[in-house]
Amino acid sequence: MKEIIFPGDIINENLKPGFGTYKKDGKVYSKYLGILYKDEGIKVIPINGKYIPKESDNIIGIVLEEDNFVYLLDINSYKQGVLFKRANNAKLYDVYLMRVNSVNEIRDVELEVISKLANGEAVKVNPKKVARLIGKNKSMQTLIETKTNTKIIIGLNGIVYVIGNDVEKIKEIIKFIEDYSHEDNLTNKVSEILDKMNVKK
Amino acid sequence: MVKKRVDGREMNELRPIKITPSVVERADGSAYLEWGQNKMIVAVYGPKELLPKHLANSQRGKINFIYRMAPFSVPERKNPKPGRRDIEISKVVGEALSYAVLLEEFPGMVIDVYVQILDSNAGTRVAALTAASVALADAGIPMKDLVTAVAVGKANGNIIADLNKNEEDADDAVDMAFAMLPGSEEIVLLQADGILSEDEFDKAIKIAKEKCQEVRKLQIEALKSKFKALKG
Amino acid sequence: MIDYSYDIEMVKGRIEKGIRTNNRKDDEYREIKIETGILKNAAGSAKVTLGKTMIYAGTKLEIGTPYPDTPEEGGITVGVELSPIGAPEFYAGPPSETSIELSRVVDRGIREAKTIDFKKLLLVPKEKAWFVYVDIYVMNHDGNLFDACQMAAMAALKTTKIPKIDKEFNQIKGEYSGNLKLEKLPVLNTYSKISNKIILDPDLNEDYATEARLSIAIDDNLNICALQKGEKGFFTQDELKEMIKTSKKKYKEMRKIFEKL
Repeated sequence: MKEIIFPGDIINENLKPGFGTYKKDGKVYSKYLGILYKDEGIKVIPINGKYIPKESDNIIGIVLEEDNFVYLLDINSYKQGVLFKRANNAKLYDVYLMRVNSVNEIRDVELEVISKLANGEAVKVNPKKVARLIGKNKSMQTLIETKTNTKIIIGLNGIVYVIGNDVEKIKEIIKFIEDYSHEDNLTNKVSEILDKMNVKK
Repeated sequence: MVKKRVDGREMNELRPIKITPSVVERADGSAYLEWGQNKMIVAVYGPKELLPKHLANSQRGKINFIYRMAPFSVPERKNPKPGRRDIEISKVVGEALSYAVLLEEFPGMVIDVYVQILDSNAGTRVAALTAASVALADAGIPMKDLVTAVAVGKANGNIIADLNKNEEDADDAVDMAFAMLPGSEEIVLLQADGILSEDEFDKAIKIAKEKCQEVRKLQIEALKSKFKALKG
Repeated sequence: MIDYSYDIEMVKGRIEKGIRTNNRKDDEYREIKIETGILKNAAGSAKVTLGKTMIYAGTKLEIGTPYPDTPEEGGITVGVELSPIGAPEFYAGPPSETSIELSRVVDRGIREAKTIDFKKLLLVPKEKAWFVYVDIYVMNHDGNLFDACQMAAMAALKTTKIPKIDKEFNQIKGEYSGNLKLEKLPVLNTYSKISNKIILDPDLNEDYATEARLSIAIDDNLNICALQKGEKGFFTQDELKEMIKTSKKKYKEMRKIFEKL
């Protein structure tokens, strides 16, 4: 089990304080309820939260509304994503893989379409768990894809697109990883579950 | 011999408190809390864009705290429309949370925090503030610290912690709502009505601080329960 | 993890193929859990979960003056609050048309079945009678608020205690003089029409994809006591008959849930 940490907890390490921490009177504190990571520096990854847009991230968005000039997309963040009609031709519920070109101080996002996604289903996961879903060197993602013969496109914003024959079972696995992301040896446990699961390939 | 209170509690004893996070699936964060007879649900939605734009603060985000009581939550049925008391509580509790939440990370945005009181017996505002901290942590909102709150006061000549309704209604009753950030002891909510000498006030604050540390432990236990353990 | 609920076309496609979440049948309810007597200040209270939809209901009894056209009767008022807690689209403020429709349909589903004999609520003819207030709070919206709210109201009513009163008709706090008696146990069933298929108890995704909606209240004699069609689609007479048939068939098993409260 990784170390759980709470807002206001003091972090007594001689490492460089990073994401999720703040400094006051020479001491370092956690900002979040989350997991404490000690690598080259200290990081607290919150247990929950919306996607914080970052330049050059690849994300997935779903068209929910349109007006005369733009399409508005759900990108699982504080604000909706925007695609301009003059540069794009989309319909309601279209799913796009996009690149974040820039973000301003009030979290408006400039997006560029990489490709339109089809023949699959989208699910929303906690954006803080995306790293676990991908795994070190894509180990978790590759494990699921090969054992179930599916394609999983993972947006760093927590929207995941699943293309395959047994999408329901894949969703179960994704939920499992989301619920137990704080456990060790998760990749092995997921491998065992996939073997037992009898997924239609 | 130390006197006990009508409900059997010691002078400084809190009523039983039970906190459960993540009870409203559609919310970004939430908590269910029982404190004595008090029962409530808190839900957090946000951070999200604050519209209309002219009401937003371009330097830092805002907390929109709304405290409401259900008509059946009190002995005599209450009109569900907010009264002056509801609006005052919404304001002071929202202000307390505004100090703890790192609002400078959300310019132009708002975090909605709604509390619905379902059953009540004194001390609902401190219970609501305690629950709201848990719900905000559940939502992954960055904070300096959790906010902990408790009511202390005087009844029948004694300084006591966590008055129940009967004690609140005593002739010489003083009810003081208190909240602080437990790490730094920075006081963010303070309301009192009734007559207290300065000595009595000092004693009350001392007890309030101790009790807040107890309350923090319960908030932590509740949040820990979010991390399910894998069996086998 | 959230199943993406906004893609109405995808939901329609699934319904056409006969697929519902958790392999639910077209006429099957999600898991129903009811707790009663949970709120002390309320005369009666209930928490109902229908799948992930979560409702709290509470009753309060107050003494009032009978209406001039019913001088020997008390009455009931039913209200549904779409608390801003329950969904991101609910807001604090005056009731929306959605919450008003909900309140009125749940009210009809109870009142028209003559669930409560208002004459039994009389205290002094023309002057004093008990009035029952049922307030229903939606605390998590995952579809089918109609049925969930009606169940919560019924559960709270069935376990409502009548306050004891003194000679001046003041309520004696904390004391009760018996239970509110329910003469009938009406059941409300809500159906959604999606791509020409009729399904019972729509979850949130199915709610979004609903073209036409029908709520039917059935009483102990298998009579229809209230009907409400909603949304912008249409029903054929055959479809109406099909739904009424299903509701009659399901009445007994639904009623059992309340009998044991």
